Amino acid sequence: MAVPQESYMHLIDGGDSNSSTIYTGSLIKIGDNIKISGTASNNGIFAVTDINEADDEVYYILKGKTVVAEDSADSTDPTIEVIRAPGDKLVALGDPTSGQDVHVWSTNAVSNYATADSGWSMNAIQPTMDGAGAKYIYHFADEALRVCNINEQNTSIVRWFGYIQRHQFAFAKVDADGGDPANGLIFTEWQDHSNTLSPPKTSGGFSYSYGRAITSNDGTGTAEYFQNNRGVSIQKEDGTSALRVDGDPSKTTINFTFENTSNTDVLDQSRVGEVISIGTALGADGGANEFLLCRQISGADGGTMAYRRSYGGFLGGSSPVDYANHDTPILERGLGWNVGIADGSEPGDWAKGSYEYFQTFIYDGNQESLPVKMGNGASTIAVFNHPAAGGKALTVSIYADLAYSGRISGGRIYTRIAETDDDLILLADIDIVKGVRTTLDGDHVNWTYEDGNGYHVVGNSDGNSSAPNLDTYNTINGYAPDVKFNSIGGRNELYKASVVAGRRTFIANVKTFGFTGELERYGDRLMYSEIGKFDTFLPHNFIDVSKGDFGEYVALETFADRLLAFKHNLVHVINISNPSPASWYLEDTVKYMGVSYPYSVTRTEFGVAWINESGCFLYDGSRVRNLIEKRLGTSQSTSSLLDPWYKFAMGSANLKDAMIGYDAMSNSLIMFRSPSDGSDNANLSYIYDFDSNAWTYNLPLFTNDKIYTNFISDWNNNLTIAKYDGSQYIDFLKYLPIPSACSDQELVTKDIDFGMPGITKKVYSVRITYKAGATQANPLKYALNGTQSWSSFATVTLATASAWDIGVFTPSSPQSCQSIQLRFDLPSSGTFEINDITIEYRVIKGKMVT
Amino acid sequence: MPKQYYIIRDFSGGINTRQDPRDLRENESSFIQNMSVDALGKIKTVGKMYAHIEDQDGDTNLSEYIVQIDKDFATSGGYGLFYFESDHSRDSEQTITETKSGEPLAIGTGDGNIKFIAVKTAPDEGPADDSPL
Repeated sequence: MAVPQESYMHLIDGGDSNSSTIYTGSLIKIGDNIKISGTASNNGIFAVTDINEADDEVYYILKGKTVVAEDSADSTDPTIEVIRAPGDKLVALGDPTSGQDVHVWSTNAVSNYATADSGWSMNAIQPTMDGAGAKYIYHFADEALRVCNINEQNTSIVRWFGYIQRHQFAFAKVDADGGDPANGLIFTEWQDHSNTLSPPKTSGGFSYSYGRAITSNDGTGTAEYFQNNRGVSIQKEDGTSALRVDGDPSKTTINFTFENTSNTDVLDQSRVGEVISIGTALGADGGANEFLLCRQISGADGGTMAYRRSYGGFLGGSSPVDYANHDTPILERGLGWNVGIADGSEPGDWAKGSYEYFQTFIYDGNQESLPVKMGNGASTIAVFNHPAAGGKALTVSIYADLAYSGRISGGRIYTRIAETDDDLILLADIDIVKGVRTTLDGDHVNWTYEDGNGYHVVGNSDGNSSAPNLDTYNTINGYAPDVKFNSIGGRNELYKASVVAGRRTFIANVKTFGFTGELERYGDRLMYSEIGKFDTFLPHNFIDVSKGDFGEYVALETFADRLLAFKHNLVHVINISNPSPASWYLEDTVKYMGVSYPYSVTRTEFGVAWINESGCFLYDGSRVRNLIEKRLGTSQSTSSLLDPWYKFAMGSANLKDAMIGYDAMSNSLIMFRSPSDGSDNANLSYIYDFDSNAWTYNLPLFTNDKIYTNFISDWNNNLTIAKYDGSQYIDFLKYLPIPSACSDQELVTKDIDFGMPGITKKVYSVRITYKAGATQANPLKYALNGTQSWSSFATVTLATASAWDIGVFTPSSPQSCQSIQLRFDLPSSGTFEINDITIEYRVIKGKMVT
Repeated sequence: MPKQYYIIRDFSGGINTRQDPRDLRENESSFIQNMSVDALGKIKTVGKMYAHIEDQDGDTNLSEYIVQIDKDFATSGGYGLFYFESDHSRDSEQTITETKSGEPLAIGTGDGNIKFIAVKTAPDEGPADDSPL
């Protein structure tokens, strides 16, 4: 094949494995995405559309950003990450041990299934800062997992763990000076962030990033980006000095401590999700040698801060860096957008007046933060206003930093006449990849890279905004910019139940600073996100189901356009079928049927099932049925061998923490007395079979005195659980209805009166058709006349039988009775099956029971 | 009266402890422990929580299963586990830093190196820099 006539990456002599094994080992395949970093000019994300090989020369044809001719090492250290999209099966496991978090397992990451930990990424998600006993709940939407620790004794934040594919400033032009090319951060990976939608950083009510009145500029001045330690990047400092690195972090160090020049550790200046650089001055040529992402801040115990190294790639081959003690400055990056404003020379429709400006971040492409008022960047920060002459267009220039946190996909600039309560008018729509536009239906103007400073889009002197847009913050987002909050998940904020339904997230039992500024818990508050914006929660987006009916929500589930909200003593059934929340309504309040723990609720293909001391309930979209009704005695049992239901469900300590799961493969519900071992005989369990609507009671499914997680359904639809048995490993188990040898198997028939309760019968023998995996000696007993006082038949040992066999049991003499009840009580461990039971009897004519 | 035979063939009613044992339906039982009635027409030993490696038959090892984890923690029962699927792998398929074993990947013109070629598509700009002879 010939040399391609499209831009490509050339692997020289790549067809010869003596030169390279990249091609001969098929490390890169057609259809792959590759993330290239560490080059001088070609860092980015590319799709490999074809691979040509001719005379041992290998050509990878690349589509994506513009390929730049590059064939000189230039001290670069290229890395190619190959991203294939076969889909992945992922498991999150919360570790309640202090200092541990949520581990994530990936099928695709397993190198050896026989090796423990293979495929596991430890502490991949870090919601908990300190404390033990974390209890994690999850919901997943649009390729992001949200994790909340509901243990209020811990210090934690709600986490967002999602896939990000983005090359910041990917298409930026190099400035006119022809400086070094840009190294925008490149992401094709899963990242762990806070779930909040933080606005640009502020101080005293104004943004650190600032506005400037400009007459003319080309974006090259450092004042466009930084001044007075203000701007799109700032230096970390405390009241004593600028901060510096404490210790001697190597290239692989992830835990950092910062200090001031008095050698005092300063641990409160970091926040989860911030991007920093170390040791490179603001505006220095080349920008930064490495960016780091803060993954964990210091908790109450004063631990170190955890940073992810080489965030966004290896840049120009400079990353990661071997830092030295006292390296400084430590710069916070990507804090907002600086703005330059001037009246354009062309006529326009902007009215005369002094305008104030606001800015936002946009997360994940569609979730906008609340706006913050822009400051002026002065040493004593104040509001930035621009006096427009009126009748002119506006020249709007945007200046961005070198690097931003991965969830940030852009931002917006708004304006209005100063000191009014007018709507915030859209002035600029910022896309961190494409550039800036001044109308939502306009084209983006591409970024230009200014070496060391950042990126800019400079408006032309004619004016690039001819008139105020009709679009405002309110019309774009559907809510006013002055709401108290629009996300939940900051430090110690949490919710205790969550579910995704109808392209919204529903959360309940919320603890937040948002409503009053104080951390308050609203146990009976049920909130919902904006549609398609799974992390955007507004103060007024709550369902006012009830007030004063006591109790807090502990679980949420959904089925058939209904939301089921569980308290300890009732269930609210809310109809959410209408896309408009205004049309949602409380369809039913089912009293006496609540639950105390979220794992007492599960979803099945037939509806939502839950378990409490009163029974096992199923909501099928129209009504609630008690599946134990007329089957199992709730408060009394007619069997001397089985306690009433309430004792099972409440547990010996009245913890009421029975757990329920649905096994789709066997179409059955599995119920387990106490996964937390909060009861004597915590292993007791029931199985409800949907096919036969039948209940059975079990001992061996679970082990007493052990701890289990909640149930999940795996990729084969098997009901799966993790078990902590005190050994070195945590094992994963799944329910299979395949008989497995066990002891204590029992069957007690009904009390059989042969349809003639008033007449005496004489019983001669009992025959069973059976299979047995082990011999069973004298397994059958009988009780007469409903006494449940058991007697043995003549000695019989059932032999092992893999095919149906017959066992015959004969009493020592024919037994006269009104009724007879049979009890199979297998003495030996093994598998056993009974196909039928035949009782040989004779009705004693004319002999009435007396 | 002649001898008669009372036959129980159906166990699918499962346990009934709500009604008196004499009033149960023919297919119901007063007590069933560690046995299952999910196979209609017979009663058999119950299944169990098998290791996740097991296939549906409980006897064959799967090639893909959740790997045990070398952790030991014993609190927070009932919480912490979640399964989800994604179009994208958690990790990259490959991270190539060497062109072959022991040889760092480099940009250059030597064998095993990579270089990037920007093909000019405008007709007046001539052929690609790396066009064939």
